[in-house]
Amino acid sequence: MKRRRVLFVHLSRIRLMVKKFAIVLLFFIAFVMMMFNKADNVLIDKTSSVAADFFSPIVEFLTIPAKMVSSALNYFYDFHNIREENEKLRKENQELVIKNSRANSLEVENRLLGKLLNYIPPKGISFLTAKVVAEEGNAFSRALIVYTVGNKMIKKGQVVLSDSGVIGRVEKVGSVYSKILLVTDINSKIPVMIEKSRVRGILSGDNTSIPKLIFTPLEAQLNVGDRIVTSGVAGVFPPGLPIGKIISTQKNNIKVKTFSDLDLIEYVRIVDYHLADVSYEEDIQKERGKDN
Amino acid sequence: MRDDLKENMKWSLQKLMPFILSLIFILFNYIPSIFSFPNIFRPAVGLICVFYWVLHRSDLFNIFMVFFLGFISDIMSSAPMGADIIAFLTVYVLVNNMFSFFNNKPFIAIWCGFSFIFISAEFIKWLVVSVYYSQFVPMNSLFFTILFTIACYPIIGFINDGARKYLMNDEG
Repeated sequence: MKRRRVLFVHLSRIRLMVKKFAIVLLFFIAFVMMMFNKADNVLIDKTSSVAADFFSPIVEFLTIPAKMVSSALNYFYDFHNIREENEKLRKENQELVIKNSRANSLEVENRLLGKLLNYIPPKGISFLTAKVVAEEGNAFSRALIVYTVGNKMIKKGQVVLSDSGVIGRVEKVGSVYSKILLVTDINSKIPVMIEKSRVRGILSGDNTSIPKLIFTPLEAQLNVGDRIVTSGVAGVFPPGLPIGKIISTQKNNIKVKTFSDLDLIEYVRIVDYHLADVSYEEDIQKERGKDN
Repeated sequence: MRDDLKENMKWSLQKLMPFILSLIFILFNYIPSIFSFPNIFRPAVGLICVFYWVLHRSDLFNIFMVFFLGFISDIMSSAPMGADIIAFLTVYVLVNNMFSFFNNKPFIAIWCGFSFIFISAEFIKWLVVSVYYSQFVPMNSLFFTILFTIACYPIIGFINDGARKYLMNDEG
């Protein structure tokens, strides 16, 4: 009887030690994972992509009840505003017809001038519209997961747009889902410029909903309401894409509000501008060779 | 034989119920919002679930489950891999060390205890992420997340409570 009790005490002590050891070991594993992540380890990247492919469909399935509520509410809201909306669209349509004819004539003119200058136009852009499956927005990161099954066009670093402008770039590409890093994430740094004055800077996210404009010249004149567009420096983003406008110009704290509501994005457009595309550069070389 | 198998499967599923429920809550947190409200109003439901189940049914919620839930949360998130695991494990360790404090305490005391443990876990996560990025992550959105999560504790706790009572009834 006594022996049995001693054995029981021993076993419970061993169990406690194993538990303590497991806690230390798991904390250690978490720190190691962090270090590997910092070093851009391929294994962590692959594991993360594969696991995200596995868990994202569950999130997609969980959205069904939320979507039903949303569509019912939208139905009543749209019904209420249909007349107003119709009038607005009619006006917009008239304006667009005029703008379209102007754009067509400019395109012809541009082509003619291009021919005169022997200009090689950039390769046509290709894009893909993807549905947002999951979104994340907290103090530690800001990202979206989009459905991009089997599309080989998608590559890390590509520009992601909404209907109003740039919202981020592709961060991870999985076989079914891809992760988009929003411009508000702390890792996001985009070379930008003020549309009118052409003053350059960097749009830096800080995990709040309003990113900051940094590295602007000290003497630069910045005003509230100035439009911010991509500058094209570094070659990741093409120049001229709209991002947002300045909403505050306090000392060392220039805040920019994005044109898109990043908390309410349903679809995104992933655009391939072929900016760092080696195959395209080879095409140009061939074309030049032919001309010579 | 078939009844035995069915019974065993049912029992195994019941044992996994806390884990599955926590997993659903974690994934539910990533659903795209249908209304335009700031994303900071997303409670850290994963930490609420870990706190609740470690406190009430630690026999069904071991440290490996906590680690795995943290891992899933890290995968879905864009934050540095391992940050959520650290926060989840911190909650696990703190609840285990404060077990005697929570024993036979009214709901308000448990709620206060959760607030303390949650703030500690989020602070540690904030510190680790700040070291990772070599810059302090702004605290204002974290502050809102903390407030909102503490406010949501009774609701998530109530749902978990329902699952726990179901488990207890089934166990007899």
